[in-house]
Amino acid sequence: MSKRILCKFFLHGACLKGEYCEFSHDWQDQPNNICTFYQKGVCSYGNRCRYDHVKVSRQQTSRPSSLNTASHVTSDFHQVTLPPVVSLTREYNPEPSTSVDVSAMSLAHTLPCKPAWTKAFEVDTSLNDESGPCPTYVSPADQPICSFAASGKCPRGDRCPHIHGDLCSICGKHCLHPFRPDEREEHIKMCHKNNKHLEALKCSQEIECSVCLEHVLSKPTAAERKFGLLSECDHPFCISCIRNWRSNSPASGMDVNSALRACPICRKLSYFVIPSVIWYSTKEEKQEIVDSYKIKLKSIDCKYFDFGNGTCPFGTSCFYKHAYRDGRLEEVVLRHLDAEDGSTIIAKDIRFVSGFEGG
Amino acid sequence: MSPFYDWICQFYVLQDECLTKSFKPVLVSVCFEFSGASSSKIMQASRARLFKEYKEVQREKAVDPDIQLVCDDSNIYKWTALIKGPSETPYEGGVFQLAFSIPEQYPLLPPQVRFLTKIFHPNVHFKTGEICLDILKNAWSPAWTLQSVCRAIIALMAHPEPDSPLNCDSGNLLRSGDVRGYRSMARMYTRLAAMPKKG
Repeated sequence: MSKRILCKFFLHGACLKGEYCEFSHDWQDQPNNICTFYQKGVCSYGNRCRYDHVKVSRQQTSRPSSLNTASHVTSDFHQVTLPPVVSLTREYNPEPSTSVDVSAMSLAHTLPCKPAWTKAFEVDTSLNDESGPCPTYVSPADQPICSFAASGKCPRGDRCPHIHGDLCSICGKHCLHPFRPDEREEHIKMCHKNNKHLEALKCSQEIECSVCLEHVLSKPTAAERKFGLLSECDHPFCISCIRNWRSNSPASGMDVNSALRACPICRKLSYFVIPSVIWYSTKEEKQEIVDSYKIKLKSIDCKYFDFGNGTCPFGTSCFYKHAYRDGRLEEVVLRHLDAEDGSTIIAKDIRFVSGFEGG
Repeated sequence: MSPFYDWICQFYVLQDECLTKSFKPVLVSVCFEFSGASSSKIMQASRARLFKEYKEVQREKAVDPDIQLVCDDSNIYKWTALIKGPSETPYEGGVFQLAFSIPEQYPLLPPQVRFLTKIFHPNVHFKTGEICLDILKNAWSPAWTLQSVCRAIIALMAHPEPDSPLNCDSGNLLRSGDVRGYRSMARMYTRLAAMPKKG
């Protein structure tokens, strides 16, 4: 999945991982412009964040639209009125001597995280602040919460100029923004999901592959630490072991359908293998893994179909995307032909020969 | 037995090649190295798996007293097994020796197993000791272990399959319904070959 997302380091001309990078080094791919903090439910920049604040479902991780982000950024410029840090310190500390101190301190602490272009802007607004009238009130939802408290503990405690978030009962951190209900909800949902994932990971740790007889999740390389689920039965294998076995050449004397495509343990015939980082405990969980895998494949162009230039041997049951260069999807037309004996068959591979043009 | 061993061997071979055929271009040796790398990965996998099986065998020695699996001291791809003839068969009381020769692609390919002890059985070649068993050929599964192969062979001894014989004499006796004849022949060979000599 990540192989199709442009590497951020590569984008800036300095990726140390080179060809071993797990992200794409192909300029045609789109960078991932999604705010990771927002995904966790806490982004202290709120709507001033330079990254996209969109909810990402598993189906689509990259939202490739450089146009979109550009407009987003420009609108941000208009929205920014005044850094809330300054206004907050004014409100909280009436004595001028300490206020200067704290505001300087908190500015220093927030500035490095800000992109350079807002820095210049900030100076402007603070100058405006002293000369002319400027809105000093910032709606509570726009105020950032203290990132120290959100990540565990704030050293300044009660004297902290920032709002401290409410305690999340699951992760035990003060990271629930009091005035952003959708963010809270998102965070709690994420926490629940993470918890479940961790739990599943713990259970998966003990599971052994019956081909290499090793714990699947203790394999040396990350690529090997994956399960290969079989569609028709529930026996665990490493993805590499089961794939190696299934791609074993039939020349070695093994039957293709009764041995190679079958589960090595129960010999039940499965037509495909699904890679997964965790092992499932219920039928529904397995279904979820299978579905998300299929959705993922559906977003990748089929190399056999080749935008309509080739033919895919899997036809309409191919897991990959069959789309033409203009984005049009291949039309799936099943032709039912009445066979001579009265039964109906589904015709494959009928080519439409254009007879209209000639006449 | 370490992965370095392969590498060192290759290195020596390379060096030798360079010494004897010093005019050969470097490219040849490079290609050689590449092919070596892919095959050594397979070897590494089979070796890791055999090592696991070895440990498993050591740990569960007492669990199955009918099977005694021993690995060759210097070669992990050569094993021998001693199996006891199943009770209520003409092979009862005999101890049969099996030789395992394991391919480098194991467990993707089945091990080659043959009887070293003479045995009169429809599915075992009388001269070579070759075994006709589907799981050692087209129905092999990588989930089988050497231990479970031994168990399958014991099961085959108890339930001969006369319709696909490697030993025609034995197969014909059973197919013609002469169970008594088969039993006495099998018993005789067990006494002769698989039991300790008296006195």
